Amino acid sequence: MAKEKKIGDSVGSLMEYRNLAWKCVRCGLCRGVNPEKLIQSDHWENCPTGTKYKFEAYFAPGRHELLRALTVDDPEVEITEKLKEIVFSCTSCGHCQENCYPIKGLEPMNVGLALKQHLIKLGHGPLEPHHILIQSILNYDNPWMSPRAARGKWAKKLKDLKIKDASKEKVEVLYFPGCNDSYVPDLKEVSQTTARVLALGNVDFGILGAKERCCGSTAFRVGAVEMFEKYKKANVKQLNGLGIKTLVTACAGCYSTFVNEYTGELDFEVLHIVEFIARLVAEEKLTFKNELDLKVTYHDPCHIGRYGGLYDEPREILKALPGVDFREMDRIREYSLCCGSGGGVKTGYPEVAMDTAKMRVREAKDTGAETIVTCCPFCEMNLKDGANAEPGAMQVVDLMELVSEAL
Amino acid sequence: MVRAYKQTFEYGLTVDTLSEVRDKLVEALGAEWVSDDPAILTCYFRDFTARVGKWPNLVVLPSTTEEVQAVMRIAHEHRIPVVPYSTGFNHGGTALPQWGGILVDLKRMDKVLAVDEEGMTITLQSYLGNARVYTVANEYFALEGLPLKPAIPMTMGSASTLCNYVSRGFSGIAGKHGGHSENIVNMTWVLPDGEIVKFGPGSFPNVGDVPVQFGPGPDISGMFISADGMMGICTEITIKLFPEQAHEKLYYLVPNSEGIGALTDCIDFFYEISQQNLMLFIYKMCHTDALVMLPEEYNPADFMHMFPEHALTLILCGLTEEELALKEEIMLEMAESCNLELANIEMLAQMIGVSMHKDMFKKIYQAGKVMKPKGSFQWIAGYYRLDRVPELMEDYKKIVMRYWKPSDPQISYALAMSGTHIQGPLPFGRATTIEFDFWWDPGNPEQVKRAILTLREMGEMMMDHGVMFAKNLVGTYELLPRLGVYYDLVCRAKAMTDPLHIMHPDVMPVGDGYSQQSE
Amino acid sequence: MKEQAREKLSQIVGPEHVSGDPDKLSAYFRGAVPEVPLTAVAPQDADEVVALVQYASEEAVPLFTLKDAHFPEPFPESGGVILDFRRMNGIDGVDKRNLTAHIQRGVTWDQLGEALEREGLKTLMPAAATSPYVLDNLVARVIMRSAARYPEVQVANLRVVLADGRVHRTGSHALDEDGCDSKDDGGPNISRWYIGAEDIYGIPVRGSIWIYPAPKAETYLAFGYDDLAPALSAIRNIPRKEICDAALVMNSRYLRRLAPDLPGSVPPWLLVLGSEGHPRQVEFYADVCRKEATALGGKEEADLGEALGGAFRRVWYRPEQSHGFYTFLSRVSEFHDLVSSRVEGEGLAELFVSHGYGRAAWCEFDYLEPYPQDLEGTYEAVNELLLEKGAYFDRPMGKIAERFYAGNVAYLEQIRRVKNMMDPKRILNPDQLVKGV
Repeated sequence: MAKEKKIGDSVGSLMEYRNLAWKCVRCGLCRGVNPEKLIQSDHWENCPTGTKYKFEAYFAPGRHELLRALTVDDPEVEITEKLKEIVFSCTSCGHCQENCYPIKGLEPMNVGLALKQHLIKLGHGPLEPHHILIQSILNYDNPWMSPRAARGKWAKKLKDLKIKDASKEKVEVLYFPGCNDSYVPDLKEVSQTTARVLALGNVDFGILGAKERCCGSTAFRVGAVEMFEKYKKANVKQLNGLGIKTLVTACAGCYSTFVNEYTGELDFEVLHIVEFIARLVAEEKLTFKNELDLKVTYHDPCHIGRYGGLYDEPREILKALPGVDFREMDRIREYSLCCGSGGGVKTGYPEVAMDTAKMRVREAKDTGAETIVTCCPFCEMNLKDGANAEPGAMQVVDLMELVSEAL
Repeated sequence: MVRAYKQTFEYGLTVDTLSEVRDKLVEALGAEWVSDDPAILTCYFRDFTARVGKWPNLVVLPSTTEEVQAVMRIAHEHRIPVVPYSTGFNHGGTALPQWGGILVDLKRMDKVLAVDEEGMTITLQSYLGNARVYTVANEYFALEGLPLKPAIPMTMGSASTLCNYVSRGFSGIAGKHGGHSENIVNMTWVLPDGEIVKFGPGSFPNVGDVPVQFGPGPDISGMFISADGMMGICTEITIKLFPEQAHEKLYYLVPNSEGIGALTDCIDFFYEISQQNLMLFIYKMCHTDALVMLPEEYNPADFMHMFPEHALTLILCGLTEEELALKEEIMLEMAESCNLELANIEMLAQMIGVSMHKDMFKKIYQAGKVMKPKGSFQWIAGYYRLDRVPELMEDYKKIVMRYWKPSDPQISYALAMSGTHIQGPLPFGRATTIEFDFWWDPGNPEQVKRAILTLREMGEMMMDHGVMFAKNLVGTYELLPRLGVYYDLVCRAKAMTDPLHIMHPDVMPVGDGYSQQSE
Repeated sequence: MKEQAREKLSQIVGPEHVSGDPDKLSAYFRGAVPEVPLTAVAPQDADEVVALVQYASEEAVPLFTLKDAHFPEPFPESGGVILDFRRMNGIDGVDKRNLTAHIQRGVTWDQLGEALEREGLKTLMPAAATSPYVLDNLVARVIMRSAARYPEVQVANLRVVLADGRVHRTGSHALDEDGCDSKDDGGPNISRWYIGAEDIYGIPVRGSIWIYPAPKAETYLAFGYDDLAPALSAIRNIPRKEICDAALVMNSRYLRRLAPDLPGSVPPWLLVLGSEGHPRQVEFYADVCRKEATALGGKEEADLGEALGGAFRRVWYRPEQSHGFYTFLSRVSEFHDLVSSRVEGEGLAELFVSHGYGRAAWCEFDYLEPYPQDLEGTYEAVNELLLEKGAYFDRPMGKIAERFYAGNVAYLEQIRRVKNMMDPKRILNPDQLVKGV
């Protein structure tokens, strides 16, 4: 589904999109939920940065104008701080392209990514906060400035599982937690549960532990594509050398990066853990014993949703969990509202990320749910921040945490 | 003798003034809602039409009528042009500044202010889109089990309802409920000097939004309709809603004859069905409409022969299935008497790859595909007599053939033009909106030139036939001076309302200094 | 009037069509002829009207055109020239296919009705006509009986003589009067200024109006109610289902005035539902209307329905002493209570016409003989109350006009500005809309 709309396609240079600029007709379909899918007027907004700043420039049509202004023979605008803000505050959620491509054949998200890459190429980026992240990846193989040696520590509690070291032993499946699920304390339960589920499913799996490197998603999303390409090359060599058949991850960002950005270069399939679990549930190989007694709603992350097409699997899992009262929000699936943190926006423009998260939390509350469930560490972290800033309690958890509780 | 009233003007916009003006705007609206950054400004001077504007000098985003007033007062004090801008999806290029100045982007004004089930009305701000209005209206009821809906135009669900109404748009259900200008109840306008004027029954104490058209007394509000921003800024509107009957069905009727006979058969049917209390919606399509909808992998040229040149899309509705069945029975008798027959809609839907469900006409998403072939889509439309449409169509074809030669391998007549659309018609078939569309690549200078020339010639041709333009579009506003006394009165009205000529100057040729946009 | 002026007028319209005779002038006034300089002229065509306007402009003489049966009071002290359009009674054309009739100002309802009937056509019929002339009523937005379905403005185009003597052809007629008859202008809809304007911006001399095919079938169903509330529910709810064209409620006084020869007793409140169109549809809707009306407690009065058939083919006139306004259907009872409690005696003849698919109602309260002791005082007092409670006067006249327009000063100011622009010398019906305009 993503490929049908060129979401996740490789992004060319800015000049390659030049002719698209003239074809934007300002119809505004990019600025809100698909009219045919609109359920409530209050839940129409779809563009985090456009919703926040409102000027035309921050929406897809504005980006097309900047594309035009920068690619004419005599560029019509200089690169100002404002222009940088416009470009780098895009979360690359893909919602605009989801609406636009089938109708107009345009790629506003890809244009946005190309603009980021273009500015960096001209020396106007990355932004300082992003620069820190990228340096950390180069120096520590993760954006958290945490030591490499600590990467596999999440697995210490799982000695009973006797998890294999994939760098030393051949395994069929590599479990790839990613940087967030490896390092962020609140998210370690995700990686631990994922490992347990794989074990329960009698999967022959291993991990790389301290040898695992960042997939490079962060670098790519903020536009540092040259750096990303070099990083990717090293990763491809390492991962292909393992002889695995499948890479499984619980991180939406890693999933999307491997599926879309590493296309054609990996010798194995890439799955998100929800695909795995949904399969196990359907085959009745996984049963849940504990009643959860929760009213939940599900937030579709952009990177397994619009980028990956995984909408049904998380829902099947939620519906299989005992005691879960599942309610849908209005903006779901292809028309899910981005949490606001993607594309480096959480670091670069925290107020955009926060406002968007709060908006999403309010929508979640409208369903009567007490818990937001998601499958992406970035979404989880940002929505938690949003929930904490909004009145009334709202929990935010990863789906794997609920799976863990129910097992 | 026509005495065209012209006025001269000068603008007080300098670099120094700009700085002072900016500070005042910041004070009125807040710094985050005022910008003069080039990266912001460059996004407002161009749209998909053949018209080109200039960069504004400032862009502001007010959120209330009072903030719009504050902006206008500042502009008035310093004699700076002001241009209102909503979604920017303006088919006449009339949201593009012609003289720079302050562009008032209305995106923050997107609230539904009230819905009244008693009067069946909804009151909205400027930016709210059709789909949102539809969604809100549907939550209210004319009677139990009978939800309400707005009359929305056949355009994007994202287009602004208020702007479509005040620019005198028309909906697909105009044949039943009249054009937009007849469905406006109240309006709030901020005038060029900052005065706020409210029109309509709801603007009088204790009356409420009683949905009686026009008045009291003379309908002064008329001069603001289809003024395209040159008389002020509309910040609120109350429009009528209509009961949405539960049972709706879409039909596709095709003539048994061909050529001009097919068109006249369609027209006969238009007359027949308009004069009964039967239909909700009717539209005459062309074969190229269907081709627009074809999936990418299909070559339109291979499928042309499969679609009729003229075909009708019709929606009937009823409160009960029984009522709908009765209407269908009567309709089919009429169709037969007009030599039309029912086509298999499911097969058609499969062929053209789009859902022909009636809901398509509610929130309008798929309609955007009409722009896909070349990137842009221009149209010209006006009100005309149904029975004279065939002669108009013949002259239209001659113009098309002059500019888009069938022998051209890249641009053929069949693929360049989408033919004659008949929308509406207005109630009882007294007039109809006749629309001519064509596609062009806005990035191709040669096609742009051809498009402009075609539009201008079409505009003149239509006027020669006595067609009154439905909206101000490229190819039409330059022809306003041909309207004699009317044109002079418009110039005077403009001078009366906006003596400093700051309100969207030169959007229409009603003042000195108007210059033809060069190609 | 000075002899020179009379001479000039006579040159324009002919001496036999100029009169200052009080006996002849009395036809234009309900009470005594005002003691101001007045002359009546009867032009025969638009050219004569143009010449009259040019004369008036040159000599700064006010012109007055009659829109109702009589001029409202008080009449301006300036006096002036009254234009009587009775001679401009030509039907210039009937377009059967496009359902438009082109009529001059002096064409009457009866005259037009007969001409159209011969062609199998008709107009909508007014529920509250204020004069026998078709165009006067339509330009004044008089409510039509089938307002449940049809919009109140039934005029497409006008030919208007402006204060400077030019002629403005509105809508598509700016291009071609013989072409399309579409009401919208080529740019801003300034033509709407003339509707409801009491001729202060220009004098319409010809109009293209909407006509309708004589229906293949029509039905008028009548239902009696003891109480007003359920009858009002009927004219609110039934039109919302789009199954009738006309939905109105009248009290027994109104009914008796409409059809004085009705036999037997009549119910306190009568609901009438009218539907026309294809025979099968009419029959279907009639059944539905019956079910709906009786479910609300109405008792079908088949005989009354038949007896009223004739009344439904006539114009209904609104007497000069009456209150006419719009409000929500949910508020009609409130206004009924308000008015009836203020008027002594047998009460008023009351009519409520559903408007816009049951969105609102035209409310009419007519004073009939025997009048209240202090008719004038009662009338003004009730008007004040109506105003205070939010009755919507779409055509406020007389003393109420100033008070009503004072509720929206900015709107009145716009009216004034347009007046100053269109008629700077104030020769067209000065003070007729509201004092000072």
